[in-house]
Amino acid sequence: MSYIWPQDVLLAMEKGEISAVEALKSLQEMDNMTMPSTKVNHSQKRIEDTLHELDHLIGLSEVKKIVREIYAFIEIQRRRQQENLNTEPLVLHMIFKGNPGTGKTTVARIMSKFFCEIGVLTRGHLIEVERADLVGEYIGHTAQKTREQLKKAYGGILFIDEAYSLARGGEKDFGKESIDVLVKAMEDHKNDLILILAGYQKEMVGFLETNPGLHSRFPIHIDFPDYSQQELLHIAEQMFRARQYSLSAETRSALLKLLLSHQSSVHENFGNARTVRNIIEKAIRRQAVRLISKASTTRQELMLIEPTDLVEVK
Amino acid sequence: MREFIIVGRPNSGKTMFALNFAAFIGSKTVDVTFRSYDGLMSCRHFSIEEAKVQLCGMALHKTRSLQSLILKMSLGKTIVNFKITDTCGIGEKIHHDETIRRGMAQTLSLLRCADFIFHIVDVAGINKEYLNNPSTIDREIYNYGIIRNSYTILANKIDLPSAQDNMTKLAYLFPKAHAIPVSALLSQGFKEVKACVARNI
Repeated sequence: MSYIWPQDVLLAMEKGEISAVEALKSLQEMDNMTMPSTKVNHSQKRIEDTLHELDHLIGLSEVKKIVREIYAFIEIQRRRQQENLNTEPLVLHMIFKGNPGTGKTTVARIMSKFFCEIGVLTRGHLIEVERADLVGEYIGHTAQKTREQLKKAYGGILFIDEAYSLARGGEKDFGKESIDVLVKAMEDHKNDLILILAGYQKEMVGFLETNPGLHSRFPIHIDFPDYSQQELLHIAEQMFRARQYSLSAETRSALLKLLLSHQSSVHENFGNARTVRNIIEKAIRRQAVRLISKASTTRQELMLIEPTDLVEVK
Repeated sequence: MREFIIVGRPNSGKTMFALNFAAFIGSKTVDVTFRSYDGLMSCRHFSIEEAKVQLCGMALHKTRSLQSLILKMSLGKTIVNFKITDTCGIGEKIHHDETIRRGMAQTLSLLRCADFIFHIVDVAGINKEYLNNPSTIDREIYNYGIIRNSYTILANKIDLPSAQDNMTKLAYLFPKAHAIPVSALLSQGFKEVKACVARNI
């Protein structure tokens, strides 16, 4: 099997699909092709690290695929430019659709770093705003507030969470004025600004239908599907690992049951990864309460989360 | 700061080399930074002897993540810091344990961007089978390292009786590489390694 990216080779090796010998051979071919006789330079390594960070996120296969596509597109456009060929303009404004806790903000943060590394954005920072940061209280105030946020975001990404709320209040609402300012800025500063509108699936579809001009101005639409139970369990394990806690097999099955009950009882309002994080934080607190009465604790005990720690977590 | 990576098969003496080399250039204690696969970093302070007890062992794959030491070396009138990173050993076969596979992937990932590669080869382990195998991991590391100018083989375990005869075999197996015979355990041959580090800082 051939791999395009070094990180794919390393991932295949981690999964046990290829041996270290095969991995080294593939890496050798790749590195020889790009930069013979030198080490992989730091900027390329940073790009790969950022992509690796994205690969590390559980699930989100579509998102990962799209980011790789964008990277390939940008790289090829740059090479075409070097050969004096016609290039497509780089308009990278995006719409993120998905339920809460499906990784929209996390992906946006990684993207801002990534676009900075590949030279699309000059500063590569992310400004996260919501309706209240853009919409003013009196006539003329909205444009001023929106422009202020845009000014902060130039050179990076302006991420508008729950963007559908800008079109919520009807004809007389100031949200529309904010949209107009945003549309103007995204055309005028398309080389220096990426605008990402994020929100729930249904509401975002409705929002784009109310403003026909908006749909075409955002060439990239990314759906963030809900996580499966297994993916949520992986997320939980990853979060515990990052906090240096470990799970026994019983805790794992108790956690799976808990996630199942959450998913089936809360339906659409289920917060996905965010709910998992809350569960984990509560379990860690419960473990602390369980252990505080003990006079001495071992390293193992301090790390282990038991099924009892999950009992009262809801 | 320049980063030197130590790679090789499991149990070839990578960690022992890193610690004894730190001692050789004058460190009495070391701060070992562990970098796990998940990007989690933790740092522990050891005396060299403590570190050897805790981090070295006869069992395979004692080191499972990246372990970095920041060391100092005086060059003329200045003192230069450099980083030496010990890695999870890599073998030919696909390992059944995921943690170790991840550790190996970490090693390869760092191998691509480190400033200098120290490839530790267990010379005492060179036998007929090893000589006839065209795709040992050592050979692949050699092939990878040789295209980079910053690569040196450390022929370890030279203190063992069988190792002396194997030096010619090593030169035959890896003809283009510069090889320094060392004993990580007894700190033999470290003067030449130190000179090599000094040239490449």
